[in-house]
Amino acid sequence: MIFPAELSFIARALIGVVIASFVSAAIGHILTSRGITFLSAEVAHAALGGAAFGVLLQTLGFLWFDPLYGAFLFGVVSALITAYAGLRGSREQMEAAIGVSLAMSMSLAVVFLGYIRSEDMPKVWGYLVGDILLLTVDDLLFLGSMAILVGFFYILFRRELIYIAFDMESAEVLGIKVKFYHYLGILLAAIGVIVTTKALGAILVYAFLIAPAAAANEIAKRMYQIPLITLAIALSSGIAGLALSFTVNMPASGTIGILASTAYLVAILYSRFRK
Amino acid sequence: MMKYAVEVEDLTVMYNNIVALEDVNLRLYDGEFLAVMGPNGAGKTTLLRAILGMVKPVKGKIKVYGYNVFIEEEKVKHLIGYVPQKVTLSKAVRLTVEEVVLMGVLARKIPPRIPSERDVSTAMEALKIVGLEELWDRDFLELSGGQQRRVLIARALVSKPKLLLLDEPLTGIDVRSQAEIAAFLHELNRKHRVSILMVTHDINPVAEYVDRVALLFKKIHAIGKPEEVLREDVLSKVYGGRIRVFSYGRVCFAIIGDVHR
Repeated sequence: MIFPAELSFIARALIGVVIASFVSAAIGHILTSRGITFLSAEVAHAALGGAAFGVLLQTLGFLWFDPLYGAFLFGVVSALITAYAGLRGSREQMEAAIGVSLAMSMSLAVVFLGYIRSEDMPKVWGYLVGDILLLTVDDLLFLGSMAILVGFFYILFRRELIYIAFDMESAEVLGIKVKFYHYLGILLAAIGVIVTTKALGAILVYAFLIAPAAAANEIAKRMYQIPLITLAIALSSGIAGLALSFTVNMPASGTIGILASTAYLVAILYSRFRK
Repeated sequence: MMKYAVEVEDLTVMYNNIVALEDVNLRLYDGEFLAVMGPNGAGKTTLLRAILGMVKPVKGKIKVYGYNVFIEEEKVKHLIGYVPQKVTLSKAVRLTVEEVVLMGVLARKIPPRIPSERDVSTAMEALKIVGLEELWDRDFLELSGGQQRRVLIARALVSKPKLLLLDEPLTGIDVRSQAEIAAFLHELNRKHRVSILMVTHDINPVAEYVDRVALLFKKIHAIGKPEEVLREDVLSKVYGGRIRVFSYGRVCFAIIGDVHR
């Protein structure tokens, strides 16, 4: 029997999965198209470092500084460094910047953790492993409002973001403000990753934001189908993952990650056999 | 009527204190088909990028149909169709042929750039001009190299440009596709009166169709009719001694041991 209190946290987890699935549909399409899927791992780990920084500041008496501010600060700065490195459309330069930023973020996190009291550690580790079952109503409101922001800009500018990913030079010749959309795409991706990291944790974020979009890229025949298929895969693996975690008592985040990654493997096989 | 489609005057471009182009002077007449040839590193793509207003020169002026490309950018962009090198395209983006050609129409609209029925029919017309209307629904990445080039030409033609700039459109495709694209460009130039400036390191596929050839290596070393430029004594200035020219009817074949300077 499910008690009201349990129903409540299950409902919150479900809402969290639904919101994160919409973020996945937008962000996954942007990142797979640009060929920089590891940006999600970079930003998620930068958010982890930033959260550690925030907790450290609170320890030092700056109680107003929520660890989430630190996560946003580090995540956005890290993404903008990568965007600057790839301003001329070079994926190789962005990949290098992603690697360096990831290493820097993790190093900073380790340094900050050294100064944090052991009782405050769970606040930071929440960003690494996440727990969808611990989402509060405030978390959901924040996650939802950020998802609406990201979704709005994605729907409005998705063509520009895809055009610069496909052919940056011609997009510029055709009059598209390439530099603006380059930064906008990466900034939107960073915001999406940071808010999803808070719900799912840095490790699961990659599986949940990238695997459904990568699977959709294999299956879709037209551009507009990609976010829709991504949403369907993210939703189904998220909801099925939650259901499985309750029925066979598996950790929810890990189960969702396994299902999302499996969807990608199935999509590859489907794509190969279709040809 | 404007006499020149493109006027390049004393153009000098430098990258990190290295000269890419030096005192280049070049004029493309309205309705002319001009091929700019030269070895790798000659500055061919830089010249195109400068005409597109994407590279700021340290010296010189460029006009397209009388408009200064660095001041009247918007007017110039509406006059030019551009076909990039294939290597600049991403393989991570899945687009159909329709979506690629529509890019040429939608990029000129305001966000969210939703295609109207008219936009779709305009894109289809452009695809018909290059003879690939039956590939409308196909995945762009699954087409042959030659078909991809023609789709990119259709995208450039969709806005009915007066000037078409092509960057190595014949590189990396088979001989038959090269011949088809060369003949198509000739038809486009003669029938639709589109001025064409094409940069290439292999002049042979278009030698019989172009009005003039310019030989570029940092600066213009020669410009004139193909038979005037495709001569061993002229080409050897840029390519060194490793060059032979054979004539067959009206066609000249330059056999070049490619030089990487």
